[in-house]
Amino acid sequence: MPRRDDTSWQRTAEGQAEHVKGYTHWLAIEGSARKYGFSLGHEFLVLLAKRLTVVDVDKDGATPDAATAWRRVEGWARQGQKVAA
Amino acid sequence: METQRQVPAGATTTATNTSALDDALAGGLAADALLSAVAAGKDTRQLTGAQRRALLASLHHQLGLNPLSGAVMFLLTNGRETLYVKKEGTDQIARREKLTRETLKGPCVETMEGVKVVICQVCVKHPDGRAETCTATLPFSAGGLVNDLMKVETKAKRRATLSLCGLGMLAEDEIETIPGARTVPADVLDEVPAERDPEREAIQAEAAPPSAPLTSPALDEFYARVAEIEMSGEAVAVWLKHRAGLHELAEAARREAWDALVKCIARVGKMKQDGAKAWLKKAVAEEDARAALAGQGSSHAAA
Repeated sequence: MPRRDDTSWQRTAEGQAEHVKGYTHWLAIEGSARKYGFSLGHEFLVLLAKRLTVVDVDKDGATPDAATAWRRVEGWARQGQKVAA
Repeated sequence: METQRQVPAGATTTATNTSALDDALAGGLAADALLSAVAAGKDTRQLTGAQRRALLASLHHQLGLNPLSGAVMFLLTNGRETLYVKKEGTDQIARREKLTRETLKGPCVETMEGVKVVICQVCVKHPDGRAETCTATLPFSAGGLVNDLMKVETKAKRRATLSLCGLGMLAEDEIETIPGARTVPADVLDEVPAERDPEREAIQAEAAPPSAPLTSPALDEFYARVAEIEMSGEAVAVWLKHRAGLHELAEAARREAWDALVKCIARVGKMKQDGAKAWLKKAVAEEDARAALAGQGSSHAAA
């Protein structure tokens, strides 16, 4: 994984795709979607949604379909980061 | 305008056009005949450099413009050459006709169909009481907004001025919104061969394609990419990538492409068609805004 302060991955589609591969839990994807929102463009959110269909495996092996994954990622991106009370 | 020439009677048929031009060519620099032929829709690229210069000088004279100001020029667009009026020309016309030009709206930035545009509306009034309102638009670009606000107002004024005076000619500002359009110096075609084939010209004129095509490789690529879309978010990137290429197509083809994308979003996103349409508009606007911000950021960084 790249250093946390290294943001060079954000500048290219390949860098973004490589970075997203590092997310192994849906919570990481949620955190990323909330953090970056639409600032990296819809293409980054598509990468996150596609990754969600891979890592978000239910106990019975079910994974979200593309439409559901996109809706969840887009929703997180629109809501933005959670603010502690 | 009383000084404008009338198109000769019967000059609307191809045969008469060719005849008028032939007469003009045979008579050397018969500027009046040249003007008649061009007014009847003849392509000015068939003229020699000397004839083209004579035509420009004559047109300046007929419109009452200063020929030294170069107020009228040739414009090459969609494979055809036409005449257009530069800003010097419209300003001279407005002054001579004592026109009152009033800005009704803008210049400002508005969002239309999910796309941001710079817009301005101007009303031009003639002392005889006639008035004309014209709207001018420019594609929004955050980096160039400072200039675009001025440019769009000038563009609206010129459009309204030309319209009120009954001059169905392009204004200088409109060139940049016509794909592939470029100006041509008066004598650039000196080397054009004098020999012409009227039969070939007639066939070409009859079989001439519409100014905007209905299909293109870019459109095929667009549809191929649409077929691969799995998520709604991908549709935005597909539209942005192909938007410029689709812009050169006819309105019907562009509308069809947009509708196909909306249908695709409705299918993959499990949405209703209206919802998909609204979503796509919003998403494209967001991406445009983001790109504009990024452009601003990079220009600030460069500064």
